[in-house]
Amino acid sequence: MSALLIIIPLLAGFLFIPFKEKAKYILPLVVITTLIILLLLSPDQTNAMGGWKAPFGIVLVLDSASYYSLLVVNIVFLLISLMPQIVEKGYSVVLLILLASTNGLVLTGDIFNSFVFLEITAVAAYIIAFSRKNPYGAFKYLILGGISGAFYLLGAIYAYIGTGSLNFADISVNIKEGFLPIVALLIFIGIGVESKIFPLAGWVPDVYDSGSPLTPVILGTGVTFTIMYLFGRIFITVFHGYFLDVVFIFGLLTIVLGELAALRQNKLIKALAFSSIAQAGLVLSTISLGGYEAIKFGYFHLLNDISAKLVLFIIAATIAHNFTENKIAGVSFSIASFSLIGFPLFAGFRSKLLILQLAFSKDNYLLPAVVLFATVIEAAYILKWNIKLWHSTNTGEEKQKISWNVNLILLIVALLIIFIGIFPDLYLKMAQNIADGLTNYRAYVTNVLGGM
Amino acid sequence: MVYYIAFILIGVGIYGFLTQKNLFKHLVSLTIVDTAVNIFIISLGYIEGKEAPIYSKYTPIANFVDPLPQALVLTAIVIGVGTLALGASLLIKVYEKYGTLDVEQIATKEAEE
Amino acid sequence: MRRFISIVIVFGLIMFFINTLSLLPKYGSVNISKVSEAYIDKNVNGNGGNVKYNESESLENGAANVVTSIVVDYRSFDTLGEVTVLFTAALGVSLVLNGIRRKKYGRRPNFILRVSVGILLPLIILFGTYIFIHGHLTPGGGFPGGTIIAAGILLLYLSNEEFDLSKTPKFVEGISGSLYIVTGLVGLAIAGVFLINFLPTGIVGDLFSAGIVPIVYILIGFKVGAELSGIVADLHREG
Repeated sequence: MSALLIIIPLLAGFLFIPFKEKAKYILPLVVITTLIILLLLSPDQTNAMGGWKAPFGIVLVLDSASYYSLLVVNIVFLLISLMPQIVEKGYSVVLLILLASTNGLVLTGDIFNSFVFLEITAVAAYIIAFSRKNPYGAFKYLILGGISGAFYLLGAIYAYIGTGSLNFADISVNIKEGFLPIVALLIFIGIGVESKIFPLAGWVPDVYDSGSPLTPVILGTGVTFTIMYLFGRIFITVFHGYFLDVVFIFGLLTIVLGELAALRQNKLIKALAFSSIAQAGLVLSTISLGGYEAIKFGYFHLLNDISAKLVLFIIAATIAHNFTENKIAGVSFSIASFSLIGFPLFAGFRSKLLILQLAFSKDNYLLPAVVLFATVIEAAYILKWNIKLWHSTNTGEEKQKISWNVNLILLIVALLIIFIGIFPDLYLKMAQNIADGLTNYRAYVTNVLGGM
Repeated sequence: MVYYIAFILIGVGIYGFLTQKNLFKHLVSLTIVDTAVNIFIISLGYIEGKEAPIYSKYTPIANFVDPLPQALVLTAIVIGVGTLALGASLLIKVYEKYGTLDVEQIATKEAEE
Repeated sequence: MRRFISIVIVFGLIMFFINTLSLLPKYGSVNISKVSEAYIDKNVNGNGGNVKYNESESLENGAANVVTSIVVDYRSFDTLGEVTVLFTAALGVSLVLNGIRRKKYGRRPNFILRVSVGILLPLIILFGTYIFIHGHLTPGGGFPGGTIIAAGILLLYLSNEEFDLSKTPKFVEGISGSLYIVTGLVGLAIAGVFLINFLPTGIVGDLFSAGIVPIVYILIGFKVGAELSGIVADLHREG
């Protein structure tokens, strides 16, 4: 019963709204419950909500792609729920709602339902963006997100007029001639804001620099992964790779501009925010190369990126002064940042190498050129920040200690990054399963619409 | 004709968002875009000579316009209201922090910090 | 310069939309889609068709208002998401405006307002309740009904300086939202399907018909009323 993955966090959120402060105790329990339910479910099932069959009602599709994406998202939430220090007072309820909506976004098989979940995710993200008094950044995000949401809705409506239903599988099979370019463009604008693509990513540095570690951590890892999954689900499973050429160009632009902007920042968290934009561009352009391998490597790189970003953002938002007093955090930071550049032996190296090999084998020299250019810039500012933080004479006016549980989690993720750098099979297997589910159009349609 | 009104309203909303300097006007632009999209969706369900989709004494058998767009608009309106309320409360806080809603003045105050 | 670029962008956007007009059906002559057709005939599971007011009985969905049947039954999961958006927004408003004092006018509201609120308030509440109880028969339902009730609460706030809801909206929205989910979970327990309509659907057009639809709409009415009242109460503070 995949619906339970959405309902349990939602029910907990509804029940704990009068006691917002107490919700932080229930959050880890809820996340563990959803993880257990997820592990008990077997992939390859579709559930019709309310019992109305596929093109008429809303279906939740659990195939290998959504199964492994749910696993990643829920583990990210678990890690965050185990660090209650970084969650502001009263924001645990928002996290519960966010968990429900990201799970829904991954599971849903209906374009309007995905709009609703996208809006819940967005509203929860605006609230999280506000934490610790950052109203201006949150407001910018709200306006951009609201307008892009309107475009997503328009895309859904054009799909309805062109198909006669709102079901993903039905749209992929039955959409009329001529509607596909319009729907694809509108949806691309619609998720452009959340997926941090070039002209629409202006909100990212302002929001990530909210002062609270929760904002960049959750928006840069869990939510980013969900949106990238949705992107793959719509553009690969539903549109069969149509429109990806355009996405490729925008992805390359995003990489170059993001890295150049990151180099110029003199605040660590803003530099990392721009780097996060650039990495999103890299993932999108890799996926847009087309084909099974490209999708697999794209998601592999995304997994490496969110592991590194989880560590980097927590440290950047809590202690951005000095590492000599926080050695564990410092070591984790260095490991994660080297993985971000793609230094050999770290996880990022594996995925960048695979992407380069793939691009060369497809006779595409534009992407390798851009990636190498980006890597050089990245190396420049990452090394600069590492040296600055390790050899800082500034002892910091406010000494912030990192508590043991945060340190432990940082260390575990950092060790995981090294482990993946040596034995990449764990992440590769996940990425492969996601790519399998996304590219297997026929199985998806049969699962949803029944034997055709 | 109704389609043109919806498209022009979307244009007006985007234009307001791109050119205005007052943050409250950005919120108004967002509402205009939302309304325009809703008008567009509703107009896509209209069929001339047909009734509102409710079985009643006056329309005992089905002779209805398309009901699905109306249901979708109901959802979209509620989502728009939620976003609007949150945006308005964020604006109260922006005004509290900077003492102004003008984009350029906020930018100079940010730079001073 | 900025203005010029904006005009170019907006003009391009409008031209793009006008270009799509050739694909769209002419205004007023849309073809009803296969999905809507099934909704109107209540024929999704293949045993409906030819619905007649006050005669057809025990259909798969008994709501006379087809829009309600879509919102609360066929696409009920969307509606659950929709109340969650409103819920999250209300939560966000209270988190954002946390710690601001209630606005005081410093003088008694005028006589007409005070007296007319006393007369109008019961009528407004009654009207809102009527709207959401009859959601499956007439235009309206939980969302308009809840909004009308919240408007009544707004009047109370305007006419009485000391009036405060404190935590009531939070409890009401929490409980009604949970009951909505519990209704769905009962369906899951009985028939193995979340949000299934497990009650008899009765005759189209009766007040007691349509299974769980009126129950869910009443819950939504309470929830939306409480959420909007909460937003009104939170926004009604010293800026």
